[in-house]
Amino acid sequence: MLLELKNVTKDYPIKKFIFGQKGRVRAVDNVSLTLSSGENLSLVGESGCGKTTLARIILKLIPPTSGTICFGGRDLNPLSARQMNPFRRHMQMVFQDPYDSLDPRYTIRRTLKEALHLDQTLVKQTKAQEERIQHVLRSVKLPEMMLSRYPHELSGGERQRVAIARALMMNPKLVILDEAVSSLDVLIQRQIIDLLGDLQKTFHLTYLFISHNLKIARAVSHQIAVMYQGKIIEIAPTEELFRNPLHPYTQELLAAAVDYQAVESKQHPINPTGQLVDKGQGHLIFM
Amino acid sequence: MSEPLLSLRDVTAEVDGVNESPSLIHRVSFDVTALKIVALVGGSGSGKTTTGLSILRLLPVALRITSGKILFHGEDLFALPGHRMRQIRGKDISMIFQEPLNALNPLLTIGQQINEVLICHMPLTAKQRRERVLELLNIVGMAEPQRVAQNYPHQLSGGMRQRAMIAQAIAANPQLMIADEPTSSLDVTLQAKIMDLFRELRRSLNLSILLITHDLGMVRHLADEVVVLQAGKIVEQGPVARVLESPRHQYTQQLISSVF
Repeated sequence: MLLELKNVTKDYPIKKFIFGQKGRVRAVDNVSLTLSSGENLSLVGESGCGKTTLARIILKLIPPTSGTICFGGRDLNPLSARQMNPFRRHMQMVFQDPYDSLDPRYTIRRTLKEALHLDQTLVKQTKAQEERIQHVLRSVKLPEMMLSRYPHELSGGERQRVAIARALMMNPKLVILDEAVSSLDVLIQRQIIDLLGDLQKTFHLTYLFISHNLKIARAVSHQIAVMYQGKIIEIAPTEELFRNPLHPYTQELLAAAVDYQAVESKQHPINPTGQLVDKGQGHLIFM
Repeated sequence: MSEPLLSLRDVTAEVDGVNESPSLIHRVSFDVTALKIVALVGGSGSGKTTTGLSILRLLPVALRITSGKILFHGEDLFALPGHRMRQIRGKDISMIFQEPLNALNPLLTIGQQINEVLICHMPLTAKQRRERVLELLNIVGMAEPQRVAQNYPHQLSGGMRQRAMIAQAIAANPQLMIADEPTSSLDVTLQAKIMDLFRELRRSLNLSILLITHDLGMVRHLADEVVVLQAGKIVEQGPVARVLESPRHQYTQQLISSVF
């Protein structure tokens, strides 16, 4: 098991200014997930449903309020920042907007080189570093001349390739792609999705793909988990979910993504004592 | 057939002051007839937005229209004096943009921003304008118009901001709305709702829409006609059903096969 989440919950305190009351908002609510090596999982849901918060918890960028995260069998929770370092190289993230996530004052070479700092053995090994940079750059199908360029000189698709290349510098096992193609046009989206497929084979990666679009999630994942108000409300193998969406919210998402049909928006009441129930063939629904 | 609402004839835009610069859009010609939704599609950098901006004469100063005509009700927009153009902009032709957080003024409430459009273009009293603001917010499907009118853009969600911008765009009863990637920054459930709103507005307000997008799925479900741009040139145009069912040009085929 590459990654295992058990009952992960994240609360944020909120202040209500009018009455001065304190409250909390539950961004992630009792989420349990497992990822096996090579089995891509997509997290799908509308904005604000907790997808990105969950991704940040997995990377230990923010601590969960409760629950455990095991990576390769090790519980990450009790680890200090220093103890966490050897794990960081195995889990990388690619963000939605490569313009925001690349340093505008770094050349592409420097951006890629910086990622190698996680590996102490490579310090001062200029030649090995350069080889690694060249190798990864070729893998994401960018020409060598890109190395001396700055992010503003690149197109959106090229920038996203650089962001992916940076994530691959340390040979990670898990790559979290947070809306990684949402800001690109359809032609480039298709290219990047195809590229991700190739890279998975060459680098033996596992993807956790975060998206609001079920159609794009379908193209990259073996399993899809649908999130709603911080909870996973349905999880199933990709084709099974498309054939047989059980939860009304999943059906709404499918209608919007596939047929561009707006369903009269309903609140889907969440049973507070509910849990995921197995419907067979790995298809679980929250009820 | 009736005279088209808007016609572009051989419109070419170039970077100003650069000799032999490649044109950003080259001899672009198409019509928008009344009550139609016409989609302008292409990859990034294909000249979709440049075309949209040139209709309203809002191109950045470095860009210049070097030839061609844009006729609105038979009147050449390029030949109009500035003050006449300002009367058309926002009144007869309005525009909405991809990212409402950038397009709305962060320092004004939604109500104030819609009110501004009304002050410029509508002969209404202050009281009538207040009522009109609430009516507009209601038309675009806001649940609590009173509250939203007093909110600042940052207090609204992405979908609500987009609705606020649409309310602003339809405030002066325009005949044509140019919608530049109106749903790209929204998630899919909201996209579908905004598309529903467009259909509704066309029916209830007799609005024609020039829809700029790269999403052919959206075009298929919303538009009547489609114009495909590649590198500033029109490579294919026609009724949506015909172009999407039997695309002739390789680029159109590529765009269609890229849709997930």
